[in-house]
Amino acid sequence: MESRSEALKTIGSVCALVVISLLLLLGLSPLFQPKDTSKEAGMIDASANAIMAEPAGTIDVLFIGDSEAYSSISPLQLWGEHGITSYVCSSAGTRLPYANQLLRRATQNQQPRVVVIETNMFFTLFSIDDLVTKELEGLLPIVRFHDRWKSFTSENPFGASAYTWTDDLKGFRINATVCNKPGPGSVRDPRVRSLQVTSRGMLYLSQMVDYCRSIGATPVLMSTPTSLNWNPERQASIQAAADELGVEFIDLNTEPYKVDINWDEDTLDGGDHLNLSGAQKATARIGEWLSSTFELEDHRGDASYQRWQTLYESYQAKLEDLG
Amino acid sequence: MNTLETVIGILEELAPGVDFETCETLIDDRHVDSLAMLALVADLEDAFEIEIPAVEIVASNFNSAQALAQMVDRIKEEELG
Amino acid sequence: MTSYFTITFALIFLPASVVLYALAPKRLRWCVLLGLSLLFMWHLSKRLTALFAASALSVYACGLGMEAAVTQRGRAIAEGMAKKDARNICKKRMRAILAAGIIVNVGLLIASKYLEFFSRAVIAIVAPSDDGASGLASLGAPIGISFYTMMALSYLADVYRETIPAEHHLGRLTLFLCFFPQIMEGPICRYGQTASALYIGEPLKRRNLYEGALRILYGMAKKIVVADRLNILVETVFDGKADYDGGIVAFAAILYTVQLYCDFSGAMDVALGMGHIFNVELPENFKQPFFSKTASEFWQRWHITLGTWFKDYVYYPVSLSKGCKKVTAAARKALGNRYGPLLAGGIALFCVWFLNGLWHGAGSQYLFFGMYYFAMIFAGGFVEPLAQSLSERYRIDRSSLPYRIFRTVRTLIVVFVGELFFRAPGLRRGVELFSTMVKSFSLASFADGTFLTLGLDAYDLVLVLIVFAGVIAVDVARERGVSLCTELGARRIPLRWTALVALFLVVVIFGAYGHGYAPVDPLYAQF
Repeated sequence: MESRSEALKTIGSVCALVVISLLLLLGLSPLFQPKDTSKEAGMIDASANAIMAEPAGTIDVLFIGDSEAYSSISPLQLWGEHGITSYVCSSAGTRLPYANQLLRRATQNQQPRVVVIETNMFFTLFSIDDLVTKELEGLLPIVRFHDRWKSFTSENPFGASAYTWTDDLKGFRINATVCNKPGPGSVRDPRVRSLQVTSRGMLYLSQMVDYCRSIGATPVLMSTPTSLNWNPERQASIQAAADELGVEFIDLNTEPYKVDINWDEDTLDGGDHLNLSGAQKATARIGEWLSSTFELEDHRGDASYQRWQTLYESYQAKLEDLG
Repeated sequence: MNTLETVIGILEELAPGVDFETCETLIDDRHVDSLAMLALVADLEDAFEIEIPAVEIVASNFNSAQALAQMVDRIKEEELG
Repeated sequence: MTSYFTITFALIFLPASVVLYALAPKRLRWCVLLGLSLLFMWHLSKRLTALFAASALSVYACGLGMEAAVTQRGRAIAEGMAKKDARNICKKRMRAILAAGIIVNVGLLIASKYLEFFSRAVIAIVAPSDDGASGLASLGAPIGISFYTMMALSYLADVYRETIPAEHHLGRLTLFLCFFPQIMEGPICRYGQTASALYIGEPLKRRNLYEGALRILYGMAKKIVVADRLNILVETVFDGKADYDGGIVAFAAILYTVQLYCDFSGAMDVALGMGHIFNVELPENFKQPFFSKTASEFWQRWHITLGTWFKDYVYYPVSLSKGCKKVTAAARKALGNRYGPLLAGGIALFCVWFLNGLWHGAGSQYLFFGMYYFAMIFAGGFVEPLAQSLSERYRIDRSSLPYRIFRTVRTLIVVFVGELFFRAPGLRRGVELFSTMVKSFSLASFADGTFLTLGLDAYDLVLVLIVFAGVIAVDVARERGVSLCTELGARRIPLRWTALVALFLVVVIFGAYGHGYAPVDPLYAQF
């Protein structure tokens, strides 16, 4: 700098500009925040985020994960078999920084007893860029929802947000397709998928586990059945992480929790994801484990949970339609 | 006849209609394009019995008749020396 | 951090670089820039950085070698050797060293990018029946190899021509070659343009900081708002399997040209803006190309540093070589001043455009692209005098507005067609698209709304239209000699800051990034 006072002036200008920009981003964020939890309202990953519209304190078990989670776990089946209220917060290709945000968003007005963290996402690599981007999106909704400027013509951007849309399947996605050949998306690039839990991933994982404990929930790691993504190396790596974090690891691919999956019939893409029949088997097993391990309240018959019973009945009807 | 007059004579034959005594943007204003340049170099080499290397083909040497004459004189001197 | 357009680069690497530069003592600032540049390169290229190191070392050694030859010449003359003899000996030595330097650096470039293509070509000639042969695999290219190799070659040529002194410090030469704002997509700088500014380590200036930041944001807006958005539609039409009518193909060709301009010139705005912050004025690479009157002029306004590189190191050396001079002399006698030099000029022009095509990549579409422009510009050499005499005969005022518009539109059509072939994945697809465009041209897809089903909705297209209109407005101002960056830099704070913050918000809100958009690597970083 030319002189001390000039330097101070420059530093002052830069700081002022940064503060002004940040304040503007924060100030404009409410305009861009979707006004409801539905996809139509512009919510990203609506089914995962619609947990924000669930009545407060009604979800006892929370599942966090990527596509393995939403194709394997059916909360309504858990309701039907055990009266457990649960929710699957997951989206395709979720990486740990995003999972961390999903966890915190889901627990804003829910106090789950158990948080089940699906492990497939541990091996999806994320760069520093992904990480910084996700954190920024978390802090500044305008970054995440900036594309909603397109909707400004049809709504009042200054209107308040009211989360009303809920997902009837509680985050589960029904897919009855039977296909024993891997799809084009199932080919795993080693640059995208690792065999070890990375140290960066571990950082997020331990944050999530600590957070769960701080809100009085028991964190658990779970590997859903998958023939394509599971291997002994990954299993050992998860076990090591679980030991380090002092949490239980339930592997549905191996004994004692092994689910009897028929890889010709129970998958929709050759062992990458489970289809409906596979999900029913996996959900049954995890339900047994949950109800035997934790003293979770059976809400069936409780009048304030009537809505769950109604949804369960229409879910049953849907399954019958599918055969 | 001095160098400048010869240079202007050559230029007038190649690109008629430009006031070469005052113009200082022969290249920048595209009065002399790359093809005319080849002819110009050949004529200069013939007229002054010099060899103009490719390194001299820069706008600052070709933008005006004066600059051209200076370049020619310089090259002549170097070749003699 | 894979490009300048990533959050980590823009929010962490660049600000940290500026702070480090400001804190370092003047004499060490160039070391800070060197360290950062090598870090950037290592981050992007990992072990392939060794190829860059080999280039830098060879260039350094050749520079010193040529300088030693010059010193020896001086000594020999002082000791009484005839000047002519001393010069000849020196020339011979320097030529050998120059040749060695060129072979090493071009060799490295070929090994990392073209080995597969050339070995396949050789196999195709030697054993045409052997379809299964795959040839040798290329090594893989460190970031910016096409750009720094051009800079290395120009440095060698300039030392050889004795227009610059050889650089005595390896670190400084390395910095000249890999300065991080210019390494990804250029501009291709000459040693004489940037070297001294890189080493001086001038303190940061508030004015430069502002102007640099403004230009960087302007470049980001071009790239992230316009180019990355258009990429969606361009990809759909060029890479998709579906058939579209000629109207859509023409639409996509025009939009691709806009995309490429916003992408590449946006990256240049970022590069020059960064350079400006560090007080290093990198050469401009674009000068309002869409206002060109001929294809030849277009290339003097588009990717300028590549064009002037070819002009200085290929076109004139070839066209003024002994053989070509003879051709020119003979042809002028037979054909006159106007058409005479065309032959030698044509030979040189062919070399330039063959290399230009090849430089972009070893694909058939790039070679065709080079030959296309060779044909267009060569034909221009014939047509121009004809047009002149015709317009004189029919009293057409060539400086009138309608005529100027006619020439500009004609040039734009030539450019759009060129970019159509350039973008197509392979020449075969290019020919296919071109014939579709010509044979089944119709505007039906615009009447029935098909053009809105290609990945961009009406909002996207209107946004692109508005922002690109802004870009053209800035270009018009620049064509009239007004630089908005400098202009704003001289204003009072409220206006100055509003411009900066507004541009920032435009990028954040209207950028084609995040959910629903796949990130797009800068287009010229792949060449």
